[in-house]
Amino acid sequence: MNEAKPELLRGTLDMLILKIVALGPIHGYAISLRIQQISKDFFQVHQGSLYPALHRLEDRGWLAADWRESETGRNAKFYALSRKGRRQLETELVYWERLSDAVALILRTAE
Amino acid sequence: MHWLLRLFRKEQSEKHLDDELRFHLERQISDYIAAGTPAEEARRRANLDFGGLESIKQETREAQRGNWLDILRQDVNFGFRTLRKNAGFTTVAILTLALGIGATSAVFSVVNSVLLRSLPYRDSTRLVWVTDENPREHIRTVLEPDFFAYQQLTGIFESVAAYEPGSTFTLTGAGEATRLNAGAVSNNFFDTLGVRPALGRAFLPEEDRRAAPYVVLLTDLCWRQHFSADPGIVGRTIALDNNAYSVVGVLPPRFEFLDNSRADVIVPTALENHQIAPDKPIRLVQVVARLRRGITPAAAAANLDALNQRLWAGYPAMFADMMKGTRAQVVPLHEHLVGKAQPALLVLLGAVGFVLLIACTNIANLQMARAVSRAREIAIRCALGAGRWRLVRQLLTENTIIAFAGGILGLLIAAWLVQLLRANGPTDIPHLAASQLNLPVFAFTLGTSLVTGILFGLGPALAAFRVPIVETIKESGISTSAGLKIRGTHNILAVAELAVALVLFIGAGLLVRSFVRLASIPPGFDPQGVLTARVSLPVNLYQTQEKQLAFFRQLETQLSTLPGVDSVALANVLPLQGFDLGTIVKRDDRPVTPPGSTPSTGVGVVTPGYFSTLRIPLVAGRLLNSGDGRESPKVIVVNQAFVLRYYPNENPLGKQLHLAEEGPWTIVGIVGGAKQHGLAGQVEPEVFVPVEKWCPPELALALRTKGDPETLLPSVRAVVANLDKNLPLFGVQTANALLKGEIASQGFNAALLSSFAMFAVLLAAIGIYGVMAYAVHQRVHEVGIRMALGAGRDDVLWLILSHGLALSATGLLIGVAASFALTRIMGSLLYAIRPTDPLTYSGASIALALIALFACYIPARRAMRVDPMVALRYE
Repeated sequence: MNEAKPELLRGTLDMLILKIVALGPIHGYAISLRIQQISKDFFQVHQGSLYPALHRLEDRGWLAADWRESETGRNAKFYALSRKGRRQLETELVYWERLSDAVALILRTAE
Repeated sequence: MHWLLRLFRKEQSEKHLDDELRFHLERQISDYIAAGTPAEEARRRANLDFGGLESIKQETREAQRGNWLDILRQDVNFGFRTLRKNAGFTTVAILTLALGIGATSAVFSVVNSVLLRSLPYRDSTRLVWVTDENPREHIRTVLEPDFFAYQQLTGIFESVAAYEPGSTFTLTGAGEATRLNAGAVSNNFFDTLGVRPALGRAFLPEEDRRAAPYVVLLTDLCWRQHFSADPGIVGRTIALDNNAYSVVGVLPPRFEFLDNSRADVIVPTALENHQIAPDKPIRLVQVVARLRRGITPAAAAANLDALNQRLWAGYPAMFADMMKGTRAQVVPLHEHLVGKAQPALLVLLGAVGFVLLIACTNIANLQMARAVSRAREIAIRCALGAGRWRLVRQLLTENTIIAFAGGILGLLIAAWLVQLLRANGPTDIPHLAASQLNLPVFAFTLGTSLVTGILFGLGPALAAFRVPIVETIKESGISTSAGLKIRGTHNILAVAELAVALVLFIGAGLLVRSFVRLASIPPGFDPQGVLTARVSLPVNLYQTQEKQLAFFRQLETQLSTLPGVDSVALANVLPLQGFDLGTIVKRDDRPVTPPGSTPSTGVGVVTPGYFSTLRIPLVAGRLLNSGDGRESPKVIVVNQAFVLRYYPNENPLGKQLHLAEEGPWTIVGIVGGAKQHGLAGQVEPEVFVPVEKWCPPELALALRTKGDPETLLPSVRAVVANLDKNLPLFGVQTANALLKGEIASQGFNAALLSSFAMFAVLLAAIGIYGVMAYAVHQRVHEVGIRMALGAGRDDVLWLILSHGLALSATGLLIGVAASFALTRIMGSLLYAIRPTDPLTYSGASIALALIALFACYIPARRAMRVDPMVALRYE
């Protein structure tokens, strides 16, 4: 286990998942791989956070899920972005940009 | 709605979740293998990466909204299972809570129906009782002409009505002759209260006059009992005291007459607004009024005082003197009707609240002990991935189940207790008979049980929250530091319980001692074996005193020849029934004193048998005898209180005096004093005049027998019916019952508070026993070491006992201090005993200390018997 890797903020994980799912239907394992890839192994995402988050997003109607055949031929649960989820992703992205701009501003001013 | 559907498709969604996670795991393994890791190692690494499968499942399940219902069901199921496993704990907890809640709800339902209930009149908060109080004579009443003057204060009162409770009528011609209670009211009485008759109408102004034809209103109960709820009753005539009254209406079932007095029929007062004059009789009335919006009772009283000063200045000197020092009082009607019952009920409610508090504390104690012994179970469940909040929720669910079960059982107990209170409560608590478990009471009980469950379960549950997992599991028992912390809380709870129990114990002790003192006051007569009743002659059939006297002479003769009857007395009033006749005494050998300077003196109109039947002792001179007839010289007997007031340091025998304007009367004897105004009161001066001289149309009978006085009743009824079949015998009771009725409310309060105190002390004893037993259980190891190092059994006993004694002493000290502060409010309930009575305080403290000591001794003795070998091996 890599102790040095920081845990993702809860809201950030939701956003990352929505962003990844936005690229096309994808199953849980692939999502976890993708998060590791795009974060260049910087973030550690436990399955203990990923699956509750997926189910929470599904529960809110932001993700739609169905069972279909995976690339290995086994049945897997695929998640896709719903219309509601797309709107949510947009709002979160706007919010995220504002937040990171603000943080960057603070850091620069503090120097 | 999809979450609801998901709830029903639970099995399927479980399988899906399982499949999804398994898919993830297997893909991970195959990826590792593809990267060249050996199969065994790949499986191990993937499992390690993945973390606890079950805990992920659990968290995922909880992320779905619909699951709270499911979780609740699981918690409840689990709660039931755990509680069933600990049947002993569960039973004790539920019973304790049920008794606490039951008693609280029962008292609360009485309080609710007596104190909190709004009066059955329209907009009753603006209704006030108006009176002029003369503190010197203890008279609270309004003069007839003043009542009419008050009606003119239209800026203060919307309306002012008069009423007179407590008269009676004999109803004939509707079955057996019956005595009915009656009230008289002015014609605007029902408008003032906002009560409309259910049938017919209220009185008209022209019916409320002296010479008007007789009219009557029936109450609902009377209409049902005596006229079989005949809907055509309005307009018919009924015979009351052999006069024809036409029925103008029937009152609604909810109607209650004022002053908590029963009324079966209501007639007009027929008051007259005449000029006040010394030679005209004046009537004294009770007044109820409706305040104008925004007028306070105090403002109304100030206005009345000003008006009274003007009115009385114009009255003849005799009346003006009589009214000297009299002040107007305007009391909210609710307070006037229930004010007397209030202090006792509030004390009882407070007491029962304390009992509930102790009961809850006991449960918290039990929970705490259980939480500690469950620490290992909780730690293991944490380690297996149970969320801490989930655990807390589960403990709370258990408590809520206990609370609900206790609440429901408590409700049953309350229903039973209310029955008991209604059947045995004293008659001077108004509306006691109407008390029942209703919606507010039910809400109160449910609320109490829920708050109890959550509040008293929260502490122990949060304590469980802090259980350190690793240490707990490693230590295979309770860590000493956690144990100490818990023991500290335990100690506080036990101290609190003892303190509260002592407050109750002292309160109950005060009431019991006060009751015993009251009950042991000699009433001045011997009630044993005496039957009493009343007979009233209708004056339109027995017009003259001679006719009335002839009837009573016959009655006395026939009663005294009944088998079993030792002696018979007739009198206008019996002891403890107050006076119904007062007079101004004027000594013939002294100048006339100014009117108003001497209070009136009670008059007993009696037959010679009065003194022997009631065993009132002769002190000097002679008693009245059969020689003191209608034509013989006027003689009277007086009591010792009379001598003290009118002939202090003189021999009154043979002295002459006038009663009102009549005389001269010669004093021939002095008797001891029988109490007239309640046991707690003083014996008032009283003169005894022979019935032969002043015969009233209504007399009380008293018959002395050697056996059970109740057995005489049928033959007494037969004698009266034989003389006049239209005469009802009423007010039948034994003199013992009369005496008991005097102290019924004190007895009631003392009995209730004592039973609460007993219960509280029992709970507190269980509480301290529990704490000590738990402490001993915890210290077995320590005791073992001490004994192994050479401590004697006595040392061990002392070690444990001193802990218990320290707790008890602290609790008792706090209890005594709290009692000093709290028993003050009981002052008005106590007779001849101060709220700080040292004997009660020390007695209760010592008794409770002994009980606590005993509760500590049992576990201490167990500690003493600890076998060091076993105790040390325990580890």
